[in-house]
This record gives sequence, structure tokens and C-alpha cells, in this order.
Amino acid sequence: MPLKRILCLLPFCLLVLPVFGQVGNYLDAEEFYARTKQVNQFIRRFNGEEDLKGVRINTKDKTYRSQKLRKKYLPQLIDQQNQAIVDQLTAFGVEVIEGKPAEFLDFYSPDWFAEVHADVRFEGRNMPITFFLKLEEANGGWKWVIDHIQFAPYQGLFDMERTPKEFLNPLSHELYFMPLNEAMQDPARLEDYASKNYTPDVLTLFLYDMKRGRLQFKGVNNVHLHFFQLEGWYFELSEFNRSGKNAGWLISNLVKAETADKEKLKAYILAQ
Amino acid sequence: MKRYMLMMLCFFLGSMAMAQNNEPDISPERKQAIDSLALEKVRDLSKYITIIGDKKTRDVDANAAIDRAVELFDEGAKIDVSSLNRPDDIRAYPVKDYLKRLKLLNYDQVNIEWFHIQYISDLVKQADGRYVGVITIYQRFEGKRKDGMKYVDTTKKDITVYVERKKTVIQGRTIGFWDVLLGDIRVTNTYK
Repeated sequence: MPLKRILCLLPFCLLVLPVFGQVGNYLDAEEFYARTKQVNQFIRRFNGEEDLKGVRINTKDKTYRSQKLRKKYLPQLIDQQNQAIVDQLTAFGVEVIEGKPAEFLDFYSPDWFAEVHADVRFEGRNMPITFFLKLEEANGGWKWVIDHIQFAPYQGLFDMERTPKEFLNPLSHELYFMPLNEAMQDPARLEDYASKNYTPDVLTLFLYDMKRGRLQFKGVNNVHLHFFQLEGWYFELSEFNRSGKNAGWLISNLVKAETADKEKLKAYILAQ
Repeated sequence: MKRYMLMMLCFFLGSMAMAQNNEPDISPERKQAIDSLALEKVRDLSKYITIIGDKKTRDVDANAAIDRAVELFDEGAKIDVSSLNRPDDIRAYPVKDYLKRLKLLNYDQVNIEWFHIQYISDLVKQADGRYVGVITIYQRFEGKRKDGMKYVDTTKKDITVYVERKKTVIQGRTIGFWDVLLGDIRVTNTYK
């Protein structure tokens, strides 16, 4: 390379080196900085609380939570390969970032939960299972707790929709509850004999099967986070492990949803 | 080690004002100091891993590095092991087992490099009173054999960091300080 050309390139190299110079020859540093590496980073970027290199901005700094910074980050926080999300981005940005008051995400808000897809071994077969977890306060700190479970073998096990037909007559006690003998013969109608306050709890079934050794946990495959915190909107967050700058934790589903719609959405997600 | 001592001393002095409080919250300035200490531990781990993985390291030195590295971790911590050849088969090993496996890897030359791209999460107080954070780093692994076989991958490592308030007695006075330990490490292959 001619010396003149090298000298021309030198100022550019000096400019770039302090930022990305330490990275080495193997990584496109810009790409890795651009990736949303943690959910924590997604929240901080969404709220405009960190700079481009992931360093926290002082709360007294004028760029902290600034509209300009948030608008800059927002397009990087969605799955740009999903046209349905791209189409809604402007409206989402206008309402959430430019709205009065502007909206921010809060780690400690109760209005988000995790959907965790995992594998278990059940009665000798590998099967998928889905856990729904939420953050719960405990002893002044926080922890994720299992709130609900979806597991195919448990589905349809209880029919609480139908009106109970069978019952134990109110004088059964006089017969030392002899009608119980008949009642316990038909497993399909057992729910009829339960209190009206009874609701089947699949989590209890899961814990029971784990304790009895009928179920063995194999490992987590996939995690999605559902956010209901923003007024008028719901979004899902998923991890995209792919090359390029548009990778990491990104919005994978964006739906305009008022409060009533959000309840329906939650019920839909939990019942899928 | 000297660096640790200095930082710990800073923590001692900085924590003296809080020594009267039973449950002090961490101020932003203190959090920044804790971030630095946690990052130091992560960097030390990277150095130990490089030493352990290097085939030129003597066995005795590798074992010493394993012991030092284990000291950085909380009890029971595990590290994922992944391979580009088996992307769906990620297994978690206890730290010491992981490091011993690293030492015995079937390559004639191993080069492990941790890039200076890191992301430090906020600290969150957990149910046992300790604080937890996650530091994300990227590692490039290169293994070569004499027959020319070469394996290269770049992995993202999410490292759990536990921050605990501890107490010690110096000249009859009880002083609180913050201690940092590493926890589970999750590994993801990056597709480049």
C-alpha cells in the first residue's frame, strides 16, 4: 500500500481505535455493541438510560431518558424482519415516547411475565412443557416464581365448564356417607363432588409428579417475555441469536391493546 | 490480588459510614464501585481460563489456576459447555469440573480470548438479601490439532454476579463491606 494512502487512512484508524480497537480481529465490534445483549439492556435502551456502549447515563444528565435518545434506540429494539411490527413502529413511538406523559418500562412492575419453554421426561417420553413465571417480592428482595403451567397430559383432565349433575345427597351423613362408594366409581365425574370454590391447579399436579419421580426436568429451550406495562400496547420480547446488528433481545410481537383487550390477551397466552 | 486488596480497602472505608445500618441500600456510586470489582473478577476468570486452556501451561500451574478460579465462584455454581457441532446440546458442569475438562481438551494448541465488550446489568436484591447482576462477555475459542483439524467458535457468556454485604471486625469495631462472587454462567453460540 502506498505511503500516501496509509497516511490518509491513519486519522480514521486513530478515530476508530479507542472505541473498537480492543476487540480484536475476529468480531465486528459495532455489531456486538448494537446487539441488545440482556433484557436489562432492552429496558435501559427503551427508557433511554444508557449510552451506545451500554454505560449507564447519570440521572442528572440531560440525555437521560431523553426523547431523542429513545427515538434513536427504538428501531433497534424490534425484530426488523417482522413487517407487522415495522408497520406499527411509528404509531407505537408516537404514543409511548412522544405521548404526554411519556411511558417507561419498569423491572419491578407486576405487568410483565415470562413464558419458558422446556423439555421434561414424562412416563418414559420426552415432552415439551411451558412455565409461566412472574416476579414476586420476598423478604425485601425479589424472585421469579412459577405461576402457571401448560403441559399436554394435564390438559382436559378437569372439566370445570360443565354444570355438575352428580352430588351427595344432604343426608348422606346418616348413612355414614355410603353414597361415596358410588361417587368414586366414575373418574370422569369426580369434579361434580367438589366444592363450588374448587379450581383445578395444574401446578400442584406438576409438583406432585416431580416429587413422585414421574416427571424429570431436562432443560430450558426458549424464553419469551410478555409486557403489559405500556398504556394501550402489549408486546412480546424474544431473543434473536443471529448475525447482524438487529439481534439479541427484541420485540417479537407488538399489539395495540386497551385494558380490556390486555386481559383477553393474557388469558389467551396462558391458555394456548 | 494486590488490586483486590486495594479495592476491598476502598470498600471498607466507603462502607464505614453505613456500618450502623442493618440493611443499607446500594447507592449509585457504590454500585459503580461494585461493577468495577465484579468486572475485575470476570477479567481474572478470563486470565485463569486462558492459562488453564493453554497447552504450554505446566500441569502444576494449570491446577493452581483452577484453584484460584474456583475461589472466584459461589458454591454450587455451574458453567454451560456448548459446541457449534452440537448447538442443541448445551450441558452445565460444576465450575471445577468445567475447568478440569478445559485443561484436558483434546487439542495441541488452544487459544482463548475474551473480548473487551461487556455489558453489566443493574443489581437487583434477591429474596435472601444478596444482590444479583449479570455481566455479558464474548469469548473466542480456537483449538488446533497437529493433523490440521481446527475448531473455532465465538460464544456469548452471561455471568451471574452475587453481591453480598459482609461484616468484619477491625480493632474491635464491626465494619460492613460488599463482597462479590461469580455464579452460574450461561453460554450461547453466536452465529457469525
